[in-house]
Amino acid sequence: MSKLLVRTARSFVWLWAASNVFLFAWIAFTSLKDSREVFDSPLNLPASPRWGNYESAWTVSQMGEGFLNSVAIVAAASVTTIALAAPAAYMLGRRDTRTAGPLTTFFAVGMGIPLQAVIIPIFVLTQKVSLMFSDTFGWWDDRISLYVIYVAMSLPFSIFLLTGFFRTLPPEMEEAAALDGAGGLRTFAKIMLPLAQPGLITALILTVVSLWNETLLALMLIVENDKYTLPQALLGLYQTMQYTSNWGGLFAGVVIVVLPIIIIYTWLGSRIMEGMTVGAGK
Amino acid sequence: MTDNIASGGAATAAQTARSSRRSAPSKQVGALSRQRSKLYWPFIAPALVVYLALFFGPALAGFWISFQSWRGSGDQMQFVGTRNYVRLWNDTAFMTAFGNSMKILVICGVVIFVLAFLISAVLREMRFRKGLQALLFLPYIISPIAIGVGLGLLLDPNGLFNTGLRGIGLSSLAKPWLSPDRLFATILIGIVWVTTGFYVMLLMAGADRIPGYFYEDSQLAGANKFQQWWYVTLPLSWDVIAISAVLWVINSLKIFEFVYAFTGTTDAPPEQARTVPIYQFVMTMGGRNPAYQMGYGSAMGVVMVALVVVLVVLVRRVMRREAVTY
Repeated sequence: MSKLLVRTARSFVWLWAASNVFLFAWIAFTSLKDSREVFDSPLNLPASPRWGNYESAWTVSQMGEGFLNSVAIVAAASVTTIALAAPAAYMLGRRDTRTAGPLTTFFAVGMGIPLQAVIIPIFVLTQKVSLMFSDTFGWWDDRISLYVIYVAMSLPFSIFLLTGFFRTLPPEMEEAAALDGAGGLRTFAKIMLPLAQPGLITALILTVVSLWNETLLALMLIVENDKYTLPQALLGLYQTMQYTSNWGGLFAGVVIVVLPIIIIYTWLGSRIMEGMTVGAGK
Repeated sequence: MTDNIASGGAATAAQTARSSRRSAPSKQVGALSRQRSKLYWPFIAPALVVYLALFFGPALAGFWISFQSWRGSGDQMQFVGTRNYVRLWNDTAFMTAFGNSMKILVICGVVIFVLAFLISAVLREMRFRKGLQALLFLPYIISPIAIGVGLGLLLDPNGLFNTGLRGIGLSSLAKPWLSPDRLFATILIGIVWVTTGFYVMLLMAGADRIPGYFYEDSQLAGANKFQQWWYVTLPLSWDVIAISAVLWVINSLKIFEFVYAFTGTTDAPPEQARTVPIYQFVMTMGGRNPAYQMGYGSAMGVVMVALVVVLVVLVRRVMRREAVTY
């Protein structure tokens, strides 16, 4: 009886994993088909791969612009997040001052506050900033607002992750550096940061992945087509697809959104999974 | 194997090192801590300022706005007391959205945790376990918008799924999966599919920390697989399970993109399929002609925070146990 259950459960796991592979393969193949093939022979390989789907998604549907916007915003925001989080986490993790404990908790509270409690004031605030800059300098770019907000919303988790990480580093190195007369800044930059590199990279990847997929804030803060992030551009393409029914082109768009994450995942997957379980391990 | 597993031991080691340092303070180490305390605030301040100004501050402002009638910048704020909250209570559309959010929390929650327990229990001893785990986890880090678009075609009335069902003679099961009154059930299944892998991974990480000799001992005592899971795995990874439950509460209530993507082609998802985050978006910045009911939307945000707090406290209380140390 128990054996049967285990066997059923195992086949279930295999089936699940296999259908995930199948789905992603199906998306990839569909992205190379023309509209008639998509419905007439949904399971067949594309008769002749239509790479033109990608071309049209990239240029006509502005996925290309979206891609560049996303890369720039996500890269800048992730790097800034880690640059702000690392020194703070270093101090919070390695010093037992009276404020360190409460501050660590205070940052962690941010992980429990849903975005919905924050977006309305943020929307109004960014509107005001944009208006002010346009009035005084005649220029503002909403992508800057999005970038700054992305940093703020990524900080709590990064600080939480890195504080735990800095806590685990052995204190001897730091003490040795102090004995050798290195200043606090130097010790941090030359000794602690290199030691913390695995943690920093994990925090960076997790930030990149979550910001790459973020859509709500982008929908709110970015209005003009040419400034859309990638998920926004995909939604735009989905909308026009209602009239053109160019499913192949739409799925090319899906692949453009998904592929970078899959590449990062196959390359650094174990790190992503480790990083995401850290919170639960404590 | 993982950082966090190593960190348990390393943290205690660091602690002992720290206390020994305190008991024998040398002059140089004193200099180290002096140096560090000089840099303490400069290191923390930038992150703290950004967090305060652009995250925590706005959350407080949202609380304030929830007592106002306000259409956003340019409009005069008008204090209305708790009227927004009373309105939420009487708004059937909000109650539907709230009920849907709770359905996601409870129904998906139960299914996801049952599946995750089952899968993590059998996965431990399966071949290719790492690869299988990675494949189950993959949907969790894919853009929900992309997944929504993909499922949109898969579940189209004439899409692959229905064609497949008809092909194997199960035409009676072929349904319009995305029709307004069936959409939410489809979304529930979709959420389970996307999320389970993450919790499998968490539970596996918890179970991996359990030393192997517990299993050997219980095997010698004649325990079968289920008994092993019940008497060893479950109690010894209880902490991780409790934290996973808290994470699920926090994450499930704010699901927005996944629901939005299923209906990304229209202005707003049909009322039957809305969750609180979707309804908030619809009532504030969403749609072709945004309603900009900022006070009302903020009240929804406050309700969500209150719900998270209450549920997290509840989960922690219910799941509190004597800590099992090993």
